[in-house]
Amino acid sequence: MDTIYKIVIGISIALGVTFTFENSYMMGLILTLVLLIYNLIICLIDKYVPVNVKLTSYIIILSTIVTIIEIILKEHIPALYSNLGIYLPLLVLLGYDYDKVNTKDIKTNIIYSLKLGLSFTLFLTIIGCIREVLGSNTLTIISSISNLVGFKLIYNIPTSNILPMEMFLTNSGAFITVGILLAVFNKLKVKHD
Amino acid sequence: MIKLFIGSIFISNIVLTKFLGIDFKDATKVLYTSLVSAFICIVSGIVNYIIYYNLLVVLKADYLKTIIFILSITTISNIVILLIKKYLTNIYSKIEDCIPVILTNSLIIGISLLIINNGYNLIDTIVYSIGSSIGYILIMLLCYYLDSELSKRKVLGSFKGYPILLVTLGIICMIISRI
Repeated sequence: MDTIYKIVIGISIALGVTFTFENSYMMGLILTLVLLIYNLIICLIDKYVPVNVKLTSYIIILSTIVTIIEIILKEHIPALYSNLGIYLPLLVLLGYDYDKVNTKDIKTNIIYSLKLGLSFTLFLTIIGCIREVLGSNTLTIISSISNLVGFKLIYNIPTSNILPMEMFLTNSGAFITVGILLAVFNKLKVKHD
Repeated sequence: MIKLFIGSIFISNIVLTKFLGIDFKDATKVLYTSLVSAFICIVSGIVNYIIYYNLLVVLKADYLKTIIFILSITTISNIVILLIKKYLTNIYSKIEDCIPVILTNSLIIGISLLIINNGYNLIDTIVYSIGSSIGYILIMLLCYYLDSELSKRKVLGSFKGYPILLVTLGIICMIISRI
């Protein structure tokens, strides 16, 4: 539950991307990939970089990784790239408190970045699932990457009087679901202690 | 152009989806940090526009925009903070704790990228960045006052602090976006 405070910093991504279920888990997987590569590179380089240059060089490394992933996505999966929009370059900002990460050991770095990335993915998928099921009565698992995989997988839930509430697809619904989820996490944390 | 100005002050899906805030205990601190962020946003919006259209498009290097924008934003913000430290020391002593919030604000990068995606010209970028930074100041002050009011009322145990603030912001955003 330490990740909640990092999530508060990354909340703009959580609000803007999670209007479908597939967007949210793709964004989380991209985030874990970026974190893994970044932490590996930093852990190997850290001894040889002089102290004055460290901050700017780490920023440049992180932004080049994000740019490479952006170009690959734009070329091969243009549907996902247009869905993610301008929230993909905002992944660079999540790296600002990572230049003081434990840089002692490759194994602990890998475990740390996997733990952080996968917990963020879990958080995003919960938000995305709630917002999509309540907002529009579908649950898309594979729709934008269909040119790679070859099929689409969309579940339809039958409409009823209350079910497609369009509020949850807008920004206000995002705020409300994130607020309620953070309250649920607080309650679980209190029970756990 | 007036329509752009008014629309960019109240455009809630820009400010409310891209704000990145930690709530403080002091009204002047909130005001000064948001003022500094707004100033950095205006300056870097114009500078990024000039850099993009005169350097990157001429060299056909559109893919480098994230790197170059982030570098320019960090340099501009560091220069502004150093200038404030030297010449306006009373303001600096108030915003000293909140420098990481200013430096990692996602509003500034978002506005620079949106300027390019929407294809504005120079006067439109000036109007747009001024408008959205004014909107940002208003929203941050609103969050501070909401937080101080909500902490006085009776709130359920696990909703205290951040979650109830998000829910009320969602309701306000619902009201504003129906205009």
